[in-house]
Amino acid sequence: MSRGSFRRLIGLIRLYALLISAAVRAKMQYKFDFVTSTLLESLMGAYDYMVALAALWRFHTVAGWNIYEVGLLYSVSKIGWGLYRTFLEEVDRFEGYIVRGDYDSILVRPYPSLFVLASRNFALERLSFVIQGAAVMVISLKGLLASGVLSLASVFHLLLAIVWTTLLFSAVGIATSAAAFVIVRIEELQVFTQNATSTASLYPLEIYPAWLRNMLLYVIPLGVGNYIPVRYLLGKGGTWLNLAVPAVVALLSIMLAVWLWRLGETRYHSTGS
Amino acid sequence: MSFIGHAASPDSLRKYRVLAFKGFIQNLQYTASHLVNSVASAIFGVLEVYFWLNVIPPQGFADYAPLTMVHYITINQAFVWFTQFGIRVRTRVRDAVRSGNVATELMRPIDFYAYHLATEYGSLLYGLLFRGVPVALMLSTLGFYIPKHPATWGWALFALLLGGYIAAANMYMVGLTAFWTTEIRTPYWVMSSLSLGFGGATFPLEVLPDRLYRLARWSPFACLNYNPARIYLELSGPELVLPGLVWAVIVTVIAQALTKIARRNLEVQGG
Amino acid sequence: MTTGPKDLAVYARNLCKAYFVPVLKSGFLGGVRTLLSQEKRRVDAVNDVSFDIRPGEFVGYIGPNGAGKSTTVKMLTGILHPTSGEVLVDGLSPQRQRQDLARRIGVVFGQRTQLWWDLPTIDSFDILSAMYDVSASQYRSFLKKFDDLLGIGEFLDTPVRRLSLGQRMRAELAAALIHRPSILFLDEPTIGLDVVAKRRMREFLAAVNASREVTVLLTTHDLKDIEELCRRVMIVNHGSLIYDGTLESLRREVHLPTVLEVKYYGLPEGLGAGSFIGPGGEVSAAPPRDAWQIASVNADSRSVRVLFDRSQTPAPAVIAAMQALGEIRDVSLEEPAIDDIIRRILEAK
Repeated sequence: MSRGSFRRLIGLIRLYALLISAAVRAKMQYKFDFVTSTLLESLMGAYDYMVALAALWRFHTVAGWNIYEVGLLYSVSKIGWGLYRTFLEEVDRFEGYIVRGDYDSILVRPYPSLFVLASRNFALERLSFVIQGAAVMVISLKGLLASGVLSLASVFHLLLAIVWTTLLFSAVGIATSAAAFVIVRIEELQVFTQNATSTASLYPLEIYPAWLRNMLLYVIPLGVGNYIPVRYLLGKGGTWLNLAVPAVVALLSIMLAVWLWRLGETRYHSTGS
Repeated sequence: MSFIGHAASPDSLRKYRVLAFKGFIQNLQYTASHLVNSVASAIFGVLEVYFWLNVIPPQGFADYAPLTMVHYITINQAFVWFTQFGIRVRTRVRDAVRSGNVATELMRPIDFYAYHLATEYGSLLYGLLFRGVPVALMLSTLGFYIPKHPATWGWALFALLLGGYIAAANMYMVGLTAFWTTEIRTPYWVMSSLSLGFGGATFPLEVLPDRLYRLARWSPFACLNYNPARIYLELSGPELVLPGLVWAVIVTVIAQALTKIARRNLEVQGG
Repeated sequence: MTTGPKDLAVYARNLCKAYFVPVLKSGFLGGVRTLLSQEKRRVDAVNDVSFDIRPGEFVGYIGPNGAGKSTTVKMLTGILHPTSGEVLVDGLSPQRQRQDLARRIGVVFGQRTQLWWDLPTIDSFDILSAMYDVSASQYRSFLKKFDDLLGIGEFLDTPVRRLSLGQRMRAELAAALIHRPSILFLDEPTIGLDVVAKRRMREFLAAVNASREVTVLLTTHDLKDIEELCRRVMIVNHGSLIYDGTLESLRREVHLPTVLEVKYYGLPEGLGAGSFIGPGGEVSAAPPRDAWQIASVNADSRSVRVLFDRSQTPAPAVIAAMQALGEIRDVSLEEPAIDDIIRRILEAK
């Protein structure tokens, strides 16, 4: 990296810190709202886990995965989702920008539009997903480390898996929101590409029929972020490649998503007179 | 003045039929997005089916064989809009309270509770028809139960209609809490968690730990999905509509009483 | 010396922006049928628009609502991509070099804030100075200069959401100039402002352009803005540029009538709509030289409305002629509305 581009990167990080601190300060004007929504969401988001807990309490395993193992899958996915929402909340809510025509003011700034958009918010309240996922992860790790299935080295790989999952959720989120440049209303589309797939990724993919499994591996590859590495770490098959592939897929997905975003941007038609 | 008596005269009953019809018709314009939504809803059904098929033992559990389990999930996925996700009455009541429109709405010669319930019910019936049926058709590729006795259709529908009513009344009460608190999210969260967890929308209540199961099956929430589904699948007889009837009466009395308190509250504050 | 497109503040050639909107189906399952149908209707928001703006100019861009003013400005600022045509702003392509261009232009959208709504106004300036790499000393002199010019000092600690519209527009304008742009785009900056705030805004805009260091393109539908600020005016209607020239030549070409309304204590005899009044107050039915047509006579309010061309006749001369007919209680001048101007231009063609 040249000196100039390094300086530019540092400048960008400092600007980002300045912008999100402004966003957080603005949010703190409505403290009560913030606290209740954070608390409620960390509880509400746990519903899926409660169901899995009830099911595995009674029936012990799903496709040979016990509650700790499912918990690991679950927590990687939840934390990844939470981090995506925390950092890219405005990307997730992009439909509103298109509907109101607010994207105009993003485009007159001398920085990449995704950077300007993302820096408008730092959704601390979405950390509720992270908190909840982390709690499940701690419980699962405790169980698995005690039984010797996992080593401390695999904990490090789990943290990496969270990074790749976050990037994959970001890629899917960016690509879905890019569709808003053309079709404007994307709320229903998000239910497909984000909610349905993220719910599916909470459980081991082998329970699904081939078409659904392939979709989660090759089309909207959220399964690559948690299932592929966790499967290997738990000794349920695969090779060291299971740890490398997610990194490659996540980076390629992000590149593809940003490309789609730029393509969409040329189709942006602002509202207003 | 009795609210219940007020609502029950034949002339005003016609009013509520008109309101319900309006609620139904208003939804007709949104068919395109409803179609997309139905597909998403079917996909969630697929996820549930495969999760449970892989969880339960090969011979099934309680009186649910694996195929019965599939049937349970697919029929409930068709019901779930009607008794859970489609209910919007809480936001309508909350907005009326917040905007102050509630003062005029309460003074109208029309029962406040019945007015909101009727409007809600119309749009729910729309959802049952235009969201429930397409979802059922799509999920029928996985397995869909057709009752053996024709009368079962009638009993199951009756139980379901009661379930939708109870759910709407519950959420009406959630909306009404806006009279006392600025934020109705907490009561909403409590109510929707209980409805979903104890309603049997995504799994049969027998899955719950035994003590919770005994509590849940006699709660009003079991009337939302669990009871209608059991009747439809002919796992239980028509007598399972009885809890629904009893709970419908109870929630009506409570909702009306709460409305009365809210109204008094408003009069004391001087509107 | 020849000047190429790169030396111009704005260079636009055959600029077009077309939208394709789906044809809505009605009736049973209308929504689904709209979704499935491929039928699209073409709407030309901007159609073959060409113009140059030289550095230092102050150009007014006017037209009725929906004529394509904002769409043009959005293409010049890199927000929208043209369907076809060429555009350079300050020698850069707004689409391909959007981020570089953003450092050289300032933009104000009258209807939309670019400030941080919930935070004190000073925070917005702090953030923007960091965003545009404004040095600390430059930033200090910016705050001083704009407090002198716009009085921003009085509300620096007030959250943006609590500013009055006049204050907010002053803040928006200051924010758009913090990085010393060479071109300023203003989209309806005076919309909704009261008379005093409007006047203040115009004085300031004149000051910004006074040294000719900042080129300004102003869209508005308030002709008063144009009259007081712009030497050049471009008129757009239904997406096409129908006039580009000085305000004076516009007046000459289309003979813009100004309306003078005169109220009398007692309505003079023999006046009727369509008849003419000469410089000495003589009334005639046929149009003689140097006479002004009566547009209407209102017996109830004892008032007469006379049309005249300000580029030909000073208003006092017309008032003097009217005075000769009877004692005047009150006079008022009405400038032509944009719609009138456009009608005249189209008639002249």
